[in-house]
Amino acid sequence: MSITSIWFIIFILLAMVVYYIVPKRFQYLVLLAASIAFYLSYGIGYMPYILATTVITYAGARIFGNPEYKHRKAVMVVTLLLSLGLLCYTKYTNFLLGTLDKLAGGGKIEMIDLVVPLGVSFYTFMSVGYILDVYWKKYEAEKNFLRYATFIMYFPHIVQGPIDRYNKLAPQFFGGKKFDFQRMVSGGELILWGFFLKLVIANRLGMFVDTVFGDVTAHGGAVWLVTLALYSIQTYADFLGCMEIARGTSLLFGIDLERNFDHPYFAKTIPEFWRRWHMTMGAWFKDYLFLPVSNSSFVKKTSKKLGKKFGAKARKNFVSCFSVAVVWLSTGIWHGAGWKFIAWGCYHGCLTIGGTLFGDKIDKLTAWLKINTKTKSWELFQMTRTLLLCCFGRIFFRANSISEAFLIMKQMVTRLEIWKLVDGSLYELGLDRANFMVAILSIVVLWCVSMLQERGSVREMIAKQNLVFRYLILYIAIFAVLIFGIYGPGYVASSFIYEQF
Amino acid sequence: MERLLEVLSECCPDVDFDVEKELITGKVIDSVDLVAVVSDIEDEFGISIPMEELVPENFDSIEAIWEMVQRLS
Repeated sequence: MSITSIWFIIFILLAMVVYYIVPKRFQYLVLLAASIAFYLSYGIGYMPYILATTVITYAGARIFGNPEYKHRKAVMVVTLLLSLGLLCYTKYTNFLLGTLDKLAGGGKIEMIDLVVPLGVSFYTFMSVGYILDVYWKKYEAEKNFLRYATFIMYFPHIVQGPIDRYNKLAPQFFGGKKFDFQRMVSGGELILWGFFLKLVIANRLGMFVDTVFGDVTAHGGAVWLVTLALYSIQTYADFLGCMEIARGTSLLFGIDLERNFDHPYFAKTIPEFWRRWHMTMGAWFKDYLFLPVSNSSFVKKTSKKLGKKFGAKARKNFVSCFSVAVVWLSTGIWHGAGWKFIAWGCYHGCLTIGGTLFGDKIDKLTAWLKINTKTKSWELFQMTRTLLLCCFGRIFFRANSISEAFLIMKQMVTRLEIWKLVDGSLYELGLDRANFMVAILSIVVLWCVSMLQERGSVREMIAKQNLVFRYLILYIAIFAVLIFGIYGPGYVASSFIYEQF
Repeated sequence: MERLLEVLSECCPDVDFDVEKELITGKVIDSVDLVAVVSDIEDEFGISIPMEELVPENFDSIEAIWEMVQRLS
């Protein structure tokens, strides 16, 4: 069941009716039943995996959650390995076999017919966060299995996150929720905005991007620059759209999900970009990988030795660079089973490490050049620089392989073909002139809304307007989605870019 | 507490630990500084600071850090 389909709307309406009718203490069971039904709608084959992760992590946490238990660490490690093992088995087995096969000359090792369960990376990360938090005694292990299962399987966050934390999300399931009309309006607006982002912007831009990436040798630098810019917007609209639908849906049940985006394309540096993009993933990696790695005895001892020899700065640089390298390598692997994702992770790791090592020197250079860094023009330059670096990195992300990514880079440098920007060639790449205009107008709307959001909640701004104006906006949004949304044949509206992770 | 102040000042010489009461939540020291702080405190006081203690409440002020050190000593 795609979350952009009419079936999903009917599904949430039915779930809501039951949710607000049943006694409050049973509301979470309605959410659990709805989540199971939703998950089953994607295929029964996925269910054993999510069930296994839920049972293993629940049981493990119940055992090592007891502070008196002697083998807490051993049980925690086994639980962690089993949970991560299921993720690795389903997602990376064929990648490893394929790599080994290539090393062996090809055609010698057969791939295994495996299903990659829907949202496996997301629910595994949520369960790992829960395991470590319980182990670190941040909160107690959940005693009720059904309550824990509701947290893991909760349908609004199962497709693409956000990667929620048990202690923040779970209490909302069990408090009992009253029907609140204003909350319904707010949730509905978020869903509508999500539909606009996904169906009008992301799917439309996807037609252009897919066409260009369908034949990488046919295009020069100018077309690639446009394509990378549009692909960056497509990815953002696609992922943000899904998040807004998820947050809006969850709000209908009175549950606040974590925000996953904070206008990343307004970021002035790469680390800031990653604090604003997929925020729950960044926070997860910081808390459960960066901090444990940087506080490991190896890093502490080595950094101390370096500090004694080369000074405090060398110590700090080592901790930062080593931990960042581990985090970015893991982030790349998390995003997909392929060398191109690892290359993409390394690219962002290098940018972040570069910023750490040469940040002071760049500051000195700007001071030496007498650049006033407190101006809007400098901020604009920083934002454009960050945007371009991110766009460039997306070549690895979207290309079919690393070699294809390098081929695209070569095409960009050796064949600029700048005239293709004005001779109408762009209109022959999946989007005709009219669709291009709709895409540009929609991006302007996205930009305007983002600017407004920087000042405060747009939903609150709308709520303060007169009734006529509010309805006008509502109708315009509905008709924009209905008329300009891309649902047509040959395009799978159900597939989100991040769904595959 | 004076020993602690010495250790902290050596780790992060730009930070005024007498004044700052939101070292982590106010982003006065980042996660990399925190590693150096943890490492030096462990050496100086002969304690081990486990992961569960690495929460903002324990590192937001010198008083909070001192309380944690005493608890773990």
